[in-house]
Amino acid sequence: MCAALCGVLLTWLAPSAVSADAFDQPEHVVVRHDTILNYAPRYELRIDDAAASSAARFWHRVQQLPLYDRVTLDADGLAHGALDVHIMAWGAGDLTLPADRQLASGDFAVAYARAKVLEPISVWGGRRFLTWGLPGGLHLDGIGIEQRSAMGLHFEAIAGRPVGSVFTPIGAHSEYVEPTVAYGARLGYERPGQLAAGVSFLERWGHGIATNRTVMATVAYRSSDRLDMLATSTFDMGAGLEEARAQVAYLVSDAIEPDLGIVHADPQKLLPSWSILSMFAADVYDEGVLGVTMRLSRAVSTRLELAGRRAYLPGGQHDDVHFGHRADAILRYVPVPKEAEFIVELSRRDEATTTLDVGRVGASFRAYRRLRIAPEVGAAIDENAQKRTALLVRGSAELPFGSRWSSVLTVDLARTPVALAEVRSMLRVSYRFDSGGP
Amino acid sequence: MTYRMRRLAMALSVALLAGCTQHTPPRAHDTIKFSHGTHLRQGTQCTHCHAVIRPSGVLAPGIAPADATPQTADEALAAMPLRVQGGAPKNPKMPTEAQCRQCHTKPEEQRCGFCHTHPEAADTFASEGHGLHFDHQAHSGRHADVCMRCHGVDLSQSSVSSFEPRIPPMRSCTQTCHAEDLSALHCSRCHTDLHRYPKPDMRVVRHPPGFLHQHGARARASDGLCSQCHEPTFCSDCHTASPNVSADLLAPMDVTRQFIHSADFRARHPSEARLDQATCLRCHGPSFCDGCHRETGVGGGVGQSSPHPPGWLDPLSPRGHAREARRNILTCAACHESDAERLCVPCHRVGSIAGNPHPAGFGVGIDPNQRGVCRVCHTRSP
Repeated sequence: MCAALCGVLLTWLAPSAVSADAFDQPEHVVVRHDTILNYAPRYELRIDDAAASSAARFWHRVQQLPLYDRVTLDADGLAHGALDVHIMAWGAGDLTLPADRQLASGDFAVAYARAKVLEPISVWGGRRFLTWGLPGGLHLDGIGIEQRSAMGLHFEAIAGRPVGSVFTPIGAHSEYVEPTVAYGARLGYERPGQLAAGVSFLERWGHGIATNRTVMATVAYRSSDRLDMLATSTFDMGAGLEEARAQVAYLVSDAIEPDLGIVHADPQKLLPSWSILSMFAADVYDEGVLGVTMRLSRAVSTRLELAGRRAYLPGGQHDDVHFGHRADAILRYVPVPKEAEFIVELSRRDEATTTLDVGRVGASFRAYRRLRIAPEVGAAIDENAQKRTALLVRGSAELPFGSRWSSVLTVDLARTPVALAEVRSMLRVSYRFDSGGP
Repeated sequence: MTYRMRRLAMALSVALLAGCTQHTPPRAHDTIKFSHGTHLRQGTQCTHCHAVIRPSGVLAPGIAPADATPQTADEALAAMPLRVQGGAPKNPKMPTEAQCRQCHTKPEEQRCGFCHTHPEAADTFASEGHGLHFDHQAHSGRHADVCMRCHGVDLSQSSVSSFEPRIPPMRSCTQTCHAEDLSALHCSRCHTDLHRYPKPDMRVVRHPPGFLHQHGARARASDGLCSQCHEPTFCSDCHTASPNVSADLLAPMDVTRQFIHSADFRARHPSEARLDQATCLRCHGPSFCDGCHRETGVGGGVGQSSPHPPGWLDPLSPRGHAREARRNILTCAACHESDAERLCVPCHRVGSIAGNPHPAGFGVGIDPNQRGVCRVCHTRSP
């Protein structure tokens, strides 16, 4: 039995599964570069008893004008298709901040190289974002091995040190915080357009404790272009079920696709077990979702979604249960080609103790020759605390110059719970080179 | 305002208006009038015109090869595709004007308007640009009924008169010879660039409104499929420790894209965090919230700048911390992740004011060495 299993495994891993000409992947290089000057005041909560107004007594504005520079490189098919390199790096400096504060910051968000050592096996090393392993994904400094067979099977194993993020006044940067090591593997099967399924296991250590032993399973299945199913669950072998989600959609006609979904989330279990707070009891959420997506035309689509939510304390008393609801509506106009686009988003969320109404209207269109403008208005109203109401009016203009350069100017007028009125602005100059196209 | 200044302002306004309304007439777009059905009905073979596609490279009898060496200047001019003199034709698979003229010899067929919709701006066939690597010779050599197998219909049908060749759908490739390439996601073997496809046209991937809420699960199930169109660094536009510029501000022109942090999320993040506790922690981890809150002076202790209401520490108060912590422990974690041991344990320990924190049967199945909180009081024996 064991020998047979090994035989199957070896056959699957055999390099001959895909012929050697798979190395002949054409070279494709994409380089992006952004220089961003962002003016957005920050606020610090400090007590100033001498201040005249109550607002000035607590919140103090910190002016800052950081300059960011971000470079992204995606190079596939180097060395006759055997090597891929992906880098995203950024740096920032702010001379307006006091010298004792952080004046400069920078980081590699992504930096890894992948080599096809023996097609279809490839290895990678460096800093990478993994979509699997933990809810929300995982940033890892490490190494991995991948294999994708012609049958659609996919195997991946990784090991390394998880990277967390630490906030600074001019940008959060990666740092080795708390977790010290993580390793795991994923096995998947894929038939593009029909079935994608995978199961992964990841163990993460921190403070000398195995803080997560997470099993994630995901299945996405589409049948005959009509039935679309998605199910995913995250299970910690120590804490139990962290979250689960299932959604079934059925394409009634080319224009109408209703769907039904359920969500279960236990946020307390998402806290790593080194945290003292992971021992406190917290609410568990169950949500039922009914939605419909309508494609009114090739360019216009809309989605309506209604959800009922129940939150309860596990093992708690009956009056600890509270109910809430959510209603979302989206109307989107995206023609092909994108000469102009438009969106309206409305959302109301009520959780018995908190009710939030969020709306956004945005449009983007060509105003004159190559000049595009994009007005946008957003509002968020916390019905339980009017002072938390936030408003944003944004105007953006983009002017491409040359075939690869573009400049974007954005001006925001905002009202926030802290500032009754404030102006922010951003100037971005971008460059994009794509060896495979314009 | 003086008269002179008024005139100047008026002149500037007129100039500005004139500049804004300056109208450039649209350039005529020429296309070649052509009916495949008419030609097929008269017995013309596909390779008569699309010579370069022919497997052997040898043209049919009586048809001069497109790249045959011209003997005279007139022949050279006639053989040269329009508008590309001195350069390669836009689409080498398409016939040159000289090839057409070899059959179309009648006087009325010599008028430019016979073929060109806009003779004044005559152009050759536009490059269709399907963005594919495709070797016609390698494929046609395998099949006897070459062209019609992929592009055509049954020639015996009456519809041949109105026939126009179709571009074969992707499934005709991936359900036959290229099934393994599809399974292994070797898209770049055929596609030169998937980014060029408008997303509504992608059959295997859909991004309907609200896709944001399911993109994580989809990516987990099939990240290889995502990376066929999106560069691997695409995820890190949002999923990264990055500059304090939110993703929606980095892409302000893409208004129809949905972002978690859209429309001044920072201003409403307290409410958002209360409504959907799991959302923040999925990406950020408690230390991210903790760092920002400390930097801004919010949290980090019940001191002078405490945001907590009066009675927060009173266990009997309806506004006390116990009820809120049960309801929303992640909100506590946003500020107190790093100092929770110092803050919570002095009260929540055996013999202190909050009493024994362990309910009956608490120790069953718990390894104190696998829980950080246990270590605060129960130090590991050497």
